[in-house]
Parts: sequence; C-alpha cells; structure tokens
Amino acid sequence: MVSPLLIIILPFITVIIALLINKKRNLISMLVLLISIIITILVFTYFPVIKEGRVITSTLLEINNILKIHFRVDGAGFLFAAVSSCLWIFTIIYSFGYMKEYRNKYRYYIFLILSLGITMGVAFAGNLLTFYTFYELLTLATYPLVIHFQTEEAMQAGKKYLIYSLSGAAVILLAIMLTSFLTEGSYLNFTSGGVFPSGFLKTANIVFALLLTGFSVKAAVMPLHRWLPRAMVAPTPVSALFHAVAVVNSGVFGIFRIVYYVFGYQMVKTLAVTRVFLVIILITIILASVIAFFQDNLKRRLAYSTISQLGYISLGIFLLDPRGLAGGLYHIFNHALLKITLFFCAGAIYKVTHKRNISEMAGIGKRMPFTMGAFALASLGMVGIPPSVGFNSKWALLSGSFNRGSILIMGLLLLSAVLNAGYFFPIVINAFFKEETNPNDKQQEKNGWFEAPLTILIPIVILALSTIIFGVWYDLPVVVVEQVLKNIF
Amino acid sequence: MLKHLPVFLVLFQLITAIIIPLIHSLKKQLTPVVVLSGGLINILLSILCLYRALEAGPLFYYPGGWEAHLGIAIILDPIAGLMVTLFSVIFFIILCYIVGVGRDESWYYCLFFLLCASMSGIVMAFDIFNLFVFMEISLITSVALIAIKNTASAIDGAFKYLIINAIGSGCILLGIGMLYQITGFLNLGWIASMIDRALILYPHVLTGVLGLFVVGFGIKMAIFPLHVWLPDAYSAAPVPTSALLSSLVTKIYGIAFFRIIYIVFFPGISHVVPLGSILKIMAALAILLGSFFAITQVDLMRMLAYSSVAQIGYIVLGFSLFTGSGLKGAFLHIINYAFMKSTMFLAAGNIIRSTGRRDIKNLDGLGSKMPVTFTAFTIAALAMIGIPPLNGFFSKWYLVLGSLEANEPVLVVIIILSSLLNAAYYLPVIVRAYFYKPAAGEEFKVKVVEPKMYIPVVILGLSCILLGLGVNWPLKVINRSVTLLMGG
Repeated sequence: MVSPLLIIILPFITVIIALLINKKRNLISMLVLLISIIITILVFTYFPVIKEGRVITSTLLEINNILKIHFRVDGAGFLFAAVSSCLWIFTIIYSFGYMKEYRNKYRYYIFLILSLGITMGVAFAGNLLTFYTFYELLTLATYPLVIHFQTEEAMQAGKKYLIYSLSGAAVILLAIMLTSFLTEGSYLNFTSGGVFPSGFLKTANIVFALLLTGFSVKAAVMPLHRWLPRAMVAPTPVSALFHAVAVVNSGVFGIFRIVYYVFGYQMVKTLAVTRVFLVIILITIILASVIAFFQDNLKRRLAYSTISQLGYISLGIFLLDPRGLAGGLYHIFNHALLKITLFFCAGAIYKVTHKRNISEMAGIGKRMPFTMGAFALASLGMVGIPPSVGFNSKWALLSGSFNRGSILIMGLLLLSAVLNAGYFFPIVINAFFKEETNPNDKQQEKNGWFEAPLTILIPIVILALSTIIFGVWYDLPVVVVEQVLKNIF
Repeated sequence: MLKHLPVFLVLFQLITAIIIPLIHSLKKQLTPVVVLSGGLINILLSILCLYRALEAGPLFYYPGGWEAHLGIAIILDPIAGLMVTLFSVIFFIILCYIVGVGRDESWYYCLFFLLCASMSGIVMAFDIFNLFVFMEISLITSVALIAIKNTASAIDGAFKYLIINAIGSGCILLGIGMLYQITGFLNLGWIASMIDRALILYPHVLTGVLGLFVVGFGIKMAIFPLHVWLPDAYSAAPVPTSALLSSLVTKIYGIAFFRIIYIVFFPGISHVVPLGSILKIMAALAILLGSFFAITQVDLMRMLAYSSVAQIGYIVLGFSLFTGSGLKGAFLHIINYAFMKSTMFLAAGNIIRSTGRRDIKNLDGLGSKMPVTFTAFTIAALAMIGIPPLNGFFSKWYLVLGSLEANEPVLVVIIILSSLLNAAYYLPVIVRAYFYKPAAGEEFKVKVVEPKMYIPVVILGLSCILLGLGVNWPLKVINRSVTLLMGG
C-alpha cells in the first residue's frame, strides 16, 4: 500500500522523464500501458483496507487551515479509481489499434497518462479544494485529447468544452471560498455526515446551488450538457474513456462528495435546492433519452444516452436513501463498463467501415459479428435486463425510490428503461437482421467478415463478456459500496 | 556596520550604475561580468536587509544624523526588506536575460541599476520629500529605458510616458507641499501624529491632498482610468524594460502610496472622504475593463500590457479593502505577479526575437518550434488564470477572503469573473501555438532560441510553481508586514 500521492504523480514523473529523454518516441505507448498497469495494481492494494471499512487520510501540504492538499482513500474513491484505472488499460490497448494511422500519437499518449494521474487525484481528493484542483486540471489535460484531430470542428468543440468546464469550475471556486469563509477554515475535509455548519440555511442553499451548478457541467446535467455531444469529435477512445467514464464521472463524483461529505444527507434533506435539482435530474433522464432517440450519428446517440445515464447516478445520490445511493454507486461501475463497450464498438465500426450514422449500419452485424455481439450485450445491460450488469443498479435505484415512497420516480425509471430499449435495440436489430444497403465496392469484394484489428477487438470482447460476468458475480462492487453505506448512514 | 545597511544598498546600486559605463569604455569584455556580479551582490545585500528587518524589527535611519522634522528618514521594515529582495531577484534574472540577448549598450545596464537604486529608495523612504526625489529619478530613468530603442514608436511611447507621469509627479509634489503646510512635517511618522488635528482644522485641504495623491500615484501605478500611457510604453519599449516596469515598478509606486495611506490617513480619513470605496471602484473597473481590452488586442505585447492594467487592479483592490486578508492578498499578488508577468514578457520577447512576429494570430504552430519558451509561457498563463497549485491562485484566494471580510460579495464575483476573462485571452494564445497549424505558405523562419535566452524564462516559470507549492514562505514575511501596516 502506498501513499495516494505516489499514484497521482507517477504519471507526471513518467512524462517529465519521457520528455527529457525524448528518444524512441514510438515506445511511449508501451510505457504508458506499463504505467497504467502499475497504477491499477497500486490502486488495488487498497482493497483489503477498504474491505475492512477503514479510511486512509494523508495531508500533503498545509498552507493554512483552509488551504491544504489533503487525500482521503475511502470506498467511493476506491470504486471510482479502480473502475477508471482498469478501463484506462483497456483504452490504451484499444488505442494501439485505433490511433495507428493518426498523427501526434506522442502527444496523445502523454496526455492520456497525465489524465489518469489527475483522475486518481479526483478520486482520492480529501477536501473540496484538492478536489477542485484536480477537477480543473482534468479539464486542461483532456483538452488536447478532445481536439486531437485539430479540425475546425474539433477546435470549436474544444472551445466549447473549455468555456463550459472553466465556467463551471469558477462557480465551484466561488462556492468553496464562501464555504471556507463561513467555516473559518479547518472544516473542509470530507467527513461522512457533513462538515457544513448548521444555522446558515440561506447561505447553505446558495452554496449548495453553486456547487451543484458547477459540478453539473461535467456531470452533463441539462441544460449544461451541450459540450458533451459536441466533444464527440474526439478520437473514439477518448470519447469512450472521458465522455463515458472519467470526466463525466468526476462531475457526478463531485456531487456525491458534496451531498454526503460536505453537507451531509441530513442537511441536504432540509435544503430547498434539493427538490429543484431532483426535478432537473428527472427531466434530464427522460429528455436526454428522447433526444438520443432522434440521433442518427451513433456517437452522438451514445453521448445523449450518457447524459441520461449520468442522471441515474445523480438520482441515486439524491434519493438520500441507502438503497438509492447503492444504486447510484453501482451505476458508476455499471455505466462505465457498459458505455465504454458501446463506444469501443462504435469506434471499431468507424475504423473498419468509416460509417458514423446508424442508418448506414444495416446488416453490419453479419460482417462484424463480434463487435455487434458485444454491442448487443452492452445494450442489454443499458436497458437493465437481468443477467447483465446493468440490472443491479436499476433494481437498487427502483427499491431506493420505493423506500422514498415516490411512485413518480419509479414510473419515470421504468419509462426511461423503455426509452433505452427504444433507441438501443433498433441498432442491434438493424445490424443483424436487415440486408446491407448500398455496400461500397470494397466491401463486396471481401465477402465475409471484416472485423477490426485484434488490439481493438480484444478489449471489446473482454469488456462485453465482463458485463455478463459481473452481472452474475457482483461481489466486488457490493463489498465496496457496503462499506461506503456503513460509513455514511 | 549593519546599521548603515539601507543606505549602503542604495549607494551600492548607484555606484554600480556609474562604474558600468566606465568599465565598458575601458574593457568591453568585462561589462557582463561586472553587471552580473553587481546583480548578485545586490541580491545578497537585499537578503541581508530582509534578514535584518525580520530580526530587528523596523529600523529607522537618518542620514547625516539629521533627525525629526527636517531630516531624511529611511525605514527598513519587513515590507521594504521584502520588496528590495523581490526586486533584486527579478532584476538579476532580467539582467541575465539582457546579457543573454547580448545587448552591447553599457547605458542600458547603467539605467537599469539607476532604476534599481530609485526603487530601493522608494520602498525605504519614510519621509515624503525623499520619496518624491527617488520617484523623479525613477521617472527619468524609465523614460530613457523606454526610448533607448530609438524607434519612432519607442520615442512616442516614452514621450507619452514622460508627459503623463510628469503630471502625476506634479500632483504628488503639490500634495506634499500642502501636507507640509498644514502639518509642518515631511516625516511620515510625524505627519501621522499631527493628522488628527489637521483633519479637524483643515478637512478640505486634506481632501485635496488625497485627491492629488490618488491622481498622482494613480497615474504612476497605471490604475484605470489613468493607465493610458501604459500600453504604448510597454509595447514599444525593449522587452526587458517592459518586463521590469510591468512586473515591479508600477507595483512599488503602489506600495509607496499605500504606505502613506495606511500610516498617515487610515483610519481617520474615512470620516472625510470615502477613500476605500473610490479605490475599490477604480480597482474593480481596472480588473474588468483591463481584461476586456486585453481580449480585443491582436498584438501580443499590447495584450500583456492591458493584462497588467487588470492585475494592478487586483493589487489596489487588496490594499483598499483595509482588511488583513486583503492586505495579504495584495502583497502576495505583488510577489506572484512579478514572477508571472516577467515570465510572460521575457517569453514574448523570445517569441518576437526569433520569429519577428507580434500578432497573436500569427503564432499558430509555434509551440512545437519553441517548446521551452512556450512551456514557461503556459505555466505563467495558467498561474495568471489561477489554476490551483500555481501561485496566482493563492493571491486570488486571499483577495476573495479579504473581500468577504470587508463584506463586499460583489467584488468576489468580479474576481472570479476576471479569472475567466484571463482565461479568455491567455488560453487562445496557448491553444493557437500548440494546436493550430500555420496557414499554408506561411512557413516560419524561426531563429533558434539559445539556452542563455530561455534559461531565465524557465527559471521564472518554475518559480511560479515553486511559489505556489511553497506559498508559506512569502506568507511568513507578509504576515509581519501586514501586522505592521494594520498597526496591531
């Protein structure tokens, strides 16, 4: 077991050394893979501790009572870190195949590994200020990846990403400063049960609203979601990793931290903002699904689906109920696994056929059976059909809303599941059971399978299988989440 | 011996200034050696000053033994110690840069040391006439430093600088005269002891004095809307001049001004004139409008110049809050800003030297050609925006805390908003340099930047990170200075 600091700065040190040596640039991808594996192993060394329900804290730098860089390794952080770092390995392997013929690979891998370190920082941050630091750095480190192709469209999308994220971060900073002024310092470390002083109901509402607004940008809560579909111009591994896993989850994770560790769920229950935000989340879940329904571009459809699914996680957090929260945390795990698979499939299709739109993908299942098979499995999970992993979280969310006694939320959850099925299954059905429309000449010649290269295919297949494996054997998240719940409630 | 330290420091700087041209005319090769060793000794002496000020508390010194109301008074307190140390460090790095560029003008070095001497004199002056004398020296040398390029735009900028700043000096002199008339003293401590009586007897004269001081020092600090000389002067001047003027000189006028305000006028004056509110409004306008002007600039140097206008706003804001955290923020920002801005100016100087281009739009794709320079520029820009582990964040933090203590939530919003505006003009430069490709047919002829030109920039850039992580160290000295000014 090592200090969380080491996990966070390992990528930075690696990059600095790599830049100083600056030879054998093509080896960078292997180096990055190695580092990400090391980080994953290091993260998993925390598992025994987490299982016992212990929390590790350490302070790196203390400037005064308020300003200190502080780390905290607990169940939720571990869950986020473990999921992200594992998926990072898959993404890097996937990138070997996917990025092969694109330029600027060196830059790509460098920022990919830097973002891993920063994401670990988000996961292990022990107070709001540390969290904010890494949250802001994540924006900057992922920006070069979003605009990787440097086309006009990409630059515009990148600009939008920066404007949204930096504005969101500024709002968060404002809230942090207000909080630290109110509490006169030393109270800002995350503690289950909350640290915000009671007695400032009006200010608490304002600060809470500001924090939620800020984190909603990365969590893509409507109407602050607009950067996410635009950011789909990024290379597919980037979209998969950041816009389904790391970046968006950092927003959701921030919401989780402020609700349970800054304000405390008892206090959140009394705040007026909570109800408003719950309504916004519900609208996001349904509306994003509806919009996804009308998207023809596959990646955009996935993006809107992400927006809707992130709503599930936020909903779980805001149910303020053990079962509901468990559902939300499970969904961080499930959604990451499922959505990255879907994105990888979309990338594989694009890589082989250069098709982006769903309407052009008729019959593609016969040509790419593995890819589309994986897509089908992941879609099942997205809808929440039992053997797949997605079922667990939706079930927990449903029972959470049942505990809360809200029939409306349960109804909306079911409606959203139907909508999910409505926009995922046609893709699968189209791909497997329709005849190919206007196949271009090249494909007709190779009248058979044309799967993507193995480095792309293997991560897809493993991830797709793991959605089923974890669906049956769900111990790992359960153990971790149990400890989180025990700690909070 | 240590007793004479403050005078010795100024004298050393003056003497170095004079011998540099002498040595240059005798033996040319020796000039850089003398200049650099002069800079180093200067750092050592300044650190000694700081050490002495921290150890022995404020030290008063009366040259010639003339005490009381007529004699010259020099003070060596933590503020002065901190400022001379900061100045000497930045000064030395900029000297290294000039030597690296290879300017073969002994006059340039001479003027630089003269400016340095006048700055040390200003921060250590404890009587206002002495202060005025050093300010005049600084004015003349600054004009010469701007005009030394001898191009039309440089002379134009220098002339503007001279005329407007001379008006400022006039205002200050008039103010000093009036203050002397009603209190009978020039020594700040003595004036302060008389001020309560003067406030009752001559409230209107004092209002006039304050107005003259605000305008006069406002011009010298380039606080909005008295900043008009600044963009022309900075963009036309040689890069090291702009770096030094922008990063430190204007701020040191600020220190002098607020030392007078805090020692003499505060808090009695607030019954006569709402000084704090006036300064706060000016600062807020400077922060917002300076940033807006910076966004619209196409010339890199002008953009940096307008950014200075905005940053001066922060410092004035911190001082005019009259709270402990606000003062801490102001001092911290002076230190941080000196490093950030000199990094940016020197980096911009490298860019202009090696490409001959000043337009931001023409810098596309430069990042890969000048990686070191641009990395330093990026670090400084991110610090300017206020990304956490870097130094700029911490000064903004204290400024916000100070605004909250002063019960001014609007200012908090302005500070946060201006961080976003900073991002709006710095990030495009970085993004263009790294991620845009140069337009077709516009291939660069980039002169190679030599290590001796980029090493000073790198050192300054790295210190932005170090001062962020090690913000505790300057804060220790600053805390002492703040208790001194707040009189507690």
